[in-house]
Amino acid sequence: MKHVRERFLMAAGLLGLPALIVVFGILPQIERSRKLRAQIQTAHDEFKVLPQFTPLSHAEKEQLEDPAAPWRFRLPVIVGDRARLDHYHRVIGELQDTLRARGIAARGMRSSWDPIKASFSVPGGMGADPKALLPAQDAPELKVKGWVLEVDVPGATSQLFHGLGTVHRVGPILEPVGLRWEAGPEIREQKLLLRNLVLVP
Amino acid sequence: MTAALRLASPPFTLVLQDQGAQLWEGEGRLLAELPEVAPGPERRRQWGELLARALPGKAKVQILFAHSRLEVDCQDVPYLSPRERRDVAQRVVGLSDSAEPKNVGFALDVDPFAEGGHQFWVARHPEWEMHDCVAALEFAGTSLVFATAWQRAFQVAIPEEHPTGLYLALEAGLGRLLLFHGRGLQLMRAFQLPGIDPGNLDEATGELLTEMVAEECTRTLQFVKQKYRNLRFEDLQIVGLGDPPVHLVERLGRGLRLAVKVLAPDLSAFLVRGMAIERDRRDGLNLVPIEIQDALKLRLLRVTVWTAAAAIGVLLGGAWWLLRADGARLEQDLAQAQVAKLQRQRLVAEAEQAGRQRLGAIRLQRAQERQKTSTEQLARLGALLFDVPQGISLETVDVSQVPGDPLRFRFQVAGSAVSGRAFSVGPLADYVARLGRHPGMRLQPLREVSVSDRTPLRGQALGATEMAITRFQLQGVTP
Repeated sequence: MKHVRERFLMAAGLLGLPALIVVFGILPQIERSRKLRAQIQTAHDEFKVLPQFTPLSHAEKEQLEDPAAPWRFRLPVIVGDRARLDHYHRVIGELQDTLRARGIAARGMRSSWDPIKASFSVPGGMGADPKALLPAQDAPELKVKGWVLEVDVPGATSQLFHGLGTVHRVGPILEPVGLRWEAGPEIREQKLLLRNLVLVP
Repeated sequence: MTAALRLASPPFTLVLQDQGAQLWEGEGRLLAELPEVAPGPERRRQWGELLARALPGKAKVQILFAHSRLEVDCQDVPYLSPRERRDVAQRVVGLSDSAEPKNVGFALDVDPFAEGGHQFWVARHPEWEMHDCVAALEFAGTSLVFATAWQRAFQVAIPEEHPTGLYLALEAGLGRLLLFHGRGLQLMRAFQLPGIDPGNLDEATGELLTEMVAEECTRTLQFVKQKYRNLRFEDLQIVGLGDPPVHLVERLGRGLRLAVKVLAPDLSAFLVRGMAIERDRRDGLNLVPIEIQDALKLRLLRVTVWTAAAAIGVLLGGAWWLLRADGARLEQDLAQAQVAKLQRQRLVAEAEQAGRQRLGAIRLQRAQERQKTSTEQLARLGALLFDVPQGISLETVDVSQVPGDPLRFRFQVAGSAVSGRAFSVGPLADYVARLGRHPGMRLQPLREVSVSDRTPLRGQALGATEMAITRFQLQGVTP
């Protein structure tokens, strides 16, 4: 039992102190560093790729945010029968006007659109404010939907192609999707098939 | 632990003689003479003062017992455990007549020339002597690190081991004849050399030295022959005399048939080397009292442990500090990563916002592009279909867009070809070939082709090749 206290102190100094440093100093630091590294890695992993895009200029932003901008009416949003009827009237009217301006008087038109059921008078309610089109066209939840309009073009075959070259002037988008031509001893018919696109919720 | 007591620099040596003592520096050169003083407090004080003047503070000192009060016994023994060594040493000490307390040291050597294979050394001297020395050294502020017997230091310093060796050690005024058998001391005979300094011999002192050495050797050899009949030796090895006098060599050679050889010219350096070897041995013969050895061991253990603890503490502290610095750096990195993450989040949000705002315009742009492409393709296809060769009459043309991407049109044409002057279906073949040359055109096989005689009208004169009509329907897809 000689120098027991000193030997105990030596053991404490040689083993206890290092153990204390390891347990209360080094191991927590290692754990802390590990957590920090994991957090850094997570932060890096979450957004690895930077998006490449051109920011909106002021002018572009103004144009895009303007609810009355002309581009909005080429591919309009149709909500409800009233808007649909209004749009139908607008497409037919503008197409007739455009063809007539080119010397083509369409003999008739047929459409594939759903029958319209409405209680309001036609065309008295057609003057709906275009700004009332809802919702905005940049809404991603809107779906593009098309309907086909068949235009009976009178005259020679060249009139058919003349009319085909005219439809891009119409305000609403009219995409030519086909033509039907038939000629016989007693019959001659030629029709242009146009598809109009709208946005629906 | 003894090996651990090795010192970085050689310690000073206190050589206790019959009359007084000498103090040597590390290489064995004389540093101071300590006069003979009565044992007890007076010796402690006087020697302490002299040592304090001669030695630096905290100097390490070893003691060499070279006086006649030291008793040395050697025994041939088998291997002894440490406990057995202590027991044997106590028995050897107990055999002496004196009741005076003794300070004892012992060592066990492997000795191939000893019975049992081992040689056991026991050295002892009055205990008060060691107390006086320790007190004087403490008084001088120095510390005792080792103590051994003169004979032991001499034996250990002998470089080569012989079965039997006769050695002559010379110093100023004193000579010693030693006989070793293996590692055991068989005999030591000390004799006075009054007025003779081996390091400074002239003709007269040389002859005197020769006479005295020859006489002592003669006596010793006679004694050895009587007591140890089986011991034979042919030379006398001298320590402490660099150049033996010619008379001495001739006298010993002619009279005693002993060849004189010089083992080492300096006795003190020889002894210091022997002490160093013995001090470094694990179980060397150490006359330092056990309590002092324990204190030395404890001090060494203390220094070792606390140094190791400090080193470990410094290393671990350094590791902790480095980890802490690394943690601080990682915190900065994390802050930067989070800032970058926020910036990227903002950028992604801006990109999504811009994409959302542009979505309507992009939709419209795509629709316009498709409208333009569709118009061009339909116009081109229509022009191709309606551009018929002579003799072909179209009846129906039906063109419709194929759903999906890429943009394609399916068409179906029906008509008739009137036979020309050559082959009857020639115009139709020309028409089909013209359509087939259109880039990307995929025509399906002609169906419902019918060739029939043409009925002549009344009054018409028809040739042989104008008598048929070909009706056809063809289909295809074109981009």
